[in-house]
Amino acid sequence: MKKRGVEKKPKGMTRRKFLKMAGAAGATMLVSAPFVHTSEKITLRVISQEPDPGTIKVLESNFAEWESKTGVKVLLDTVPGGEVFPKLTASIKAGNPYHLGNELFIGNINIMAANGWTVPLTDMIKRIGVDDFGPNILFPMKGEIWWYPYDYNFAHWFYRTDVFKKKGLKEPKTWAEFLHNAKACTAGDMYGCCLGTGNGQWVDWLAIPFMWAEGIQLFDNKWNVIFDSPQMKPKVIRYLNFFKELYQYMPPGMTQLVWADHIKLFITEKVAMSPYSGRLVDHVDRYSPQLEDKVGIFTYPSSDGKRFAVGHGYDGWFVVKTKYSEEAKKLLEWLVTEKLIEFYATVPIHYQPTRMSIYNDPRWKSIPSVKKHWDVVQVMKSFLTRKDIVLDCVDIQGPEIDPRPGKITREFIMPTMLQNLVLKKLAPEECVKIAADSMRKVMKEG
Amino acid sequence: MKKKRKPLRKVIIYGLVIFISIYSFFPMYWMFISSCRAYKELFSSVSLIPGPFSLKSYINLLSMTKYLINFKNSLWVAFFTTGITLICSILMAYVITRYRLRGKRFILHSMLFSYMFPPLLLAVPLYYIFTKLGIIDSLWGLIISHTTITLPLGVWLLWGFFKAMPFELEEAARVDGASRIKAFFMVVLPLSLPGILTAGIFSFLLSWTDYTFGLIILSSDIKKTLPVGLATMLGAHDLNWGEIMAGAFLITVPLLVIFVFVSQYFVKGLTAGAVKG
Amino acid sequence: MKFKDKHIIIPFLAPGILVTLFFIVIPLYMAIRLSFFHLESYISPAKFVGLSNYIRILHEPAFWNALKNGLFYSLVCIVLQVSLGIGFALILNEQFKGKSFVRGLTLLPYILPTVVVALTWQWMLDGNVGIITVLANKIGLGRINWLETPNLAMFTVILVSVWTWTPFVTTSFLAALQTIPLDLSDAAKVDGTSSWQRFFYITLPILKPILVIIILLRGIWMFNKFDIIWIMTKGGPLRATEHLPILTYQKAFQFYDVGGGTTVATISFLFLFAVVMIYLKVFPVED
Repeated sequence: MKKRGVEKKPKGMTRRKFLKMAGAAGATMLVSAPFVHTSEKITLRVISQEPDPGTIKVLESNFAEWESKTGVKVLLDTVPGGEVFPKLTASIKAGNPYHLGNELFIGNINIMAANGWTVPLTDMIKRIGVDDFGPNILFPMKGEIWWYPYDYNFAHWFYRTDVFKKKGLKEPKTWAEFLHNAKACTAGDMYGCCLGTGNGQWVDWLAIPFMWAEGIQLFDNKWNVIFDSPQMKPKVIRYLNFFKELYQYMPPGMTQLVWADHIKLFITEKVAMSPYSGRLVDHVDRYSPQLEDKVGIFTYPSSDGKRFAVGHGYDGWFVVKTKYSEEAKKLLEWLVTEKLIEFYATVPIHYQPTRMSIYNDPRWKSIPSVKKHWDVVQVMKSFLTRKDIVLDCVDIQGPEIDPRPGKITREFIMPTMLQNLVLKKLAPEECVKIAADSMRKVMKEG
Repeated sequence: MKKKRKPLRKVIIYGLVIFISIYSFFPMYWMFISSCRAYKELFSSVSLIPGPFSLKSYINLLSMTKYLINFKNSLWVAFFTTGITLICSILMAYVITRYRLRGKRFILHSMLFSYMFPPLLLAVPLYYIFTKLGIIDSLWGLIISHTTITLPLGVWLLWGFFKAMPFELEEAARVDGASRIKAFFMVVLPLSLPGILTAGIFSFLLSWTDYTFGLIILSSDIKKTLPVGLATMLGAHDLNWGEIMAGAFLITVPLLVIFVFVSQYFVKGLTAGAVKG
Repeated sequence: MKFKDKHIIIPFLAPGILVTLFFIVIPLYMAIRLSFFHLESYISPAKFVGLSNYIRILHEPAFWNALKNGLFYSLVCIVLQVSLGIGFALILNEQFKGKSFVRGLTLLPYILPTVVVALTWQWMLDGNVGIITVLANKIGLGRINWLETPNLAMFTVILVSVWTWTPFVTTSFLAALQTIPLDLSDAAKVDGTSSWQRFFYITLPILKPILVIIILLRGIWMFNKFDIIWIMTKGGPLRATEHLPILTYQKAFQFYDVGGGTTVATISFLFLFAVVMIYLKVFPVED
């Protein structure tokens, strides 16, 4: 039994003291913790899918400069290509939206615009000069321009000129020749080519252009899906059979491949032919200079050699509709006027300029890489205007610019078609049917 | 009593032991070698011998990414999670073992019960609540989330330790005139240090290594903890496997340090949970 | 005693109870509540829809596929983890040089963060340059792409999970083995019983209580595991490794069917609860 008298005093003091100490400790921890925001200045959140470390560094230094100029803090988040859209969606649905971002594929941009998430940039583009922009890049929808496109990313094939020479191969003009080359190059540690088949928009960009060369279209003038029509279906089946055969000459792991992995396989000499845009050249310079003068280019052939295609690709900045839209637009305009060349210089061959004046800008022309690869730059520039090459992409299919084809890329209908073909080993007819039905579903849901 | 061991048996045992050792250790070894192998050889050689040596992966990782910030975030979150967990579970476990309470069984069973939750079952409403409170994408939100998994474990572990601790020492102090609270601080706590350490280590571990809650609660690169940061770096930052392995190795280092020094507590903790039933 | 010490009991229980109440109980209640609503974002108003989420989900093939995958994954993992774990424990229970070092080594996979395990194994299993792929090719198994085909992906994910979490079983068993009185097994040895007989008739019965608990815990944990599979395959290829936690995540955070996500999670929890209750009836556990 305890003595009441003795207990009372120390008990009270001890408990109060304990609570006081705990309270003080808690308060100190709270205040000193690094994640407590005490400032009230404007902070812009930017989401970008440019993975190059040089680009990220330049963007971050630009943002630091912007902060010292205007007091507006800017935070950068980087995600893989095509993932800006889901990340932006998540941020909006969590009530904590990004303010500014860049994304690839006008399809993604148009879906965002159609959802009412972004503000038009028409006035900014007009200020900069609509006519300065090249063809097939602004894609106005509902009379407004919804992005500032900063590069063309034409997808075409790169190949090892030395390997071709050794095996007596020429640049393939038909699918049969392509297969022949792929087979001949698959020896030892090397494979013929690579084409990722995982769920991602690189498939629409890199694997599908064979279909454009073949003359395949997804819609008619009235937005009916004609992918499995009597006119198109045989062509698609021909393409799928071609892909199935080509698959044997690809290294294992095609479902795991994402974006720049296509480049990695090329520069680590695991494949003789790899599809990509200018970034491959920049990476050869950076990581595999021994391959420098062994890289050639050719475009996607059709089955019969009558037509050629280049995959259309593009990246651009967009401004999210938030209470800081005007602030974000100011920052963006500064980035794409005063800081543009600095941005381009980080991956110069890949960031193919969208404004014709840049091609004549001495600052751009004096970037060492541009000077060195002037011939490649000219080839890529020629794709802008050549009439003999088909320039197309899944998200710009249809009679006019519309967000729904973009949804086809977001639902991974084309990757699923290829996975059904090579993983599930379904018959090409069935793969086409499933893909066409999925497209119809997307078009119906809007 | 000396037993005659068949030499064959001994050989088999040693063989199996070696196999188990390699089996357990090899991936870590390979991770480490890959992290300090030069770029070209990383993709072309599978030599088990380390080299050609290159620190480029570490340099790239630390200079190109926000890895150090992620490290700091992980540290803060784990620290606070462990602190809150320990305070709550020590106090709770003590009272549960020292008093006969009506809800005692209920509390204990509900702790076991919460092992059964899919973490995602809690993550969705927590995300919903945090959104409403405006603390989404914050480290505090993450600390709260982590506590939901460390608290039941902490109570469970410490209950085991306190239960096993004899009451006599406390009683002796109280007979000497100390209040119950004083006895708690002066006698019980110091004696239960091994148990507290074990619970602390497990809490730290669970928080440091959590990926699921981090993935869901955090979205800004600058707030990310290590597991989430590392996993998302692969596609976002033009990194190679060398840098990823370097990042993986650096996450593991603190764990190895803790493990080497306090592995006995670790083992005790595992067995306290399982053997004691 | 109880009344007088209220000043201790209440403040001591308070932090833990409050934390549990606000961070666990209320969210749990909300999760179940949300499953009766239709929500397309976390900031928009929720619409009450009664049981229609449940009806819809239970009619989705994706749900049953995920349930099947989850069951397959956890059952195979339990079987492999327990058998391997017991086997390792038996070996490690023997006398040999460097015993404590090796025991520490075997714990290594368990303490590694899941993300490290997933990334390291992805690297080792890379279809082109992964060391395991290369070695498998060298010994004549051909170029296996471990995460490429649906069946192989599930198999690979199970393998990695077994590697990671078996040490829990090993260590628990080892500790338990060491509580077996030596004279018991010595006496059996003198009697001339073989190792197998000793294992089945002496060791296993003594360890049965531990075994029961371990199987229960491992089953629960493997059924609810999200991160290892998500990092390695994201539920693919073609939904082959998609289980209920992944389905929950996708619905709640990718397709913005928040009600659907919480429905899947609640069903998953109830299912597990039912299984555990049945299990405890068949194998009662003393406290």
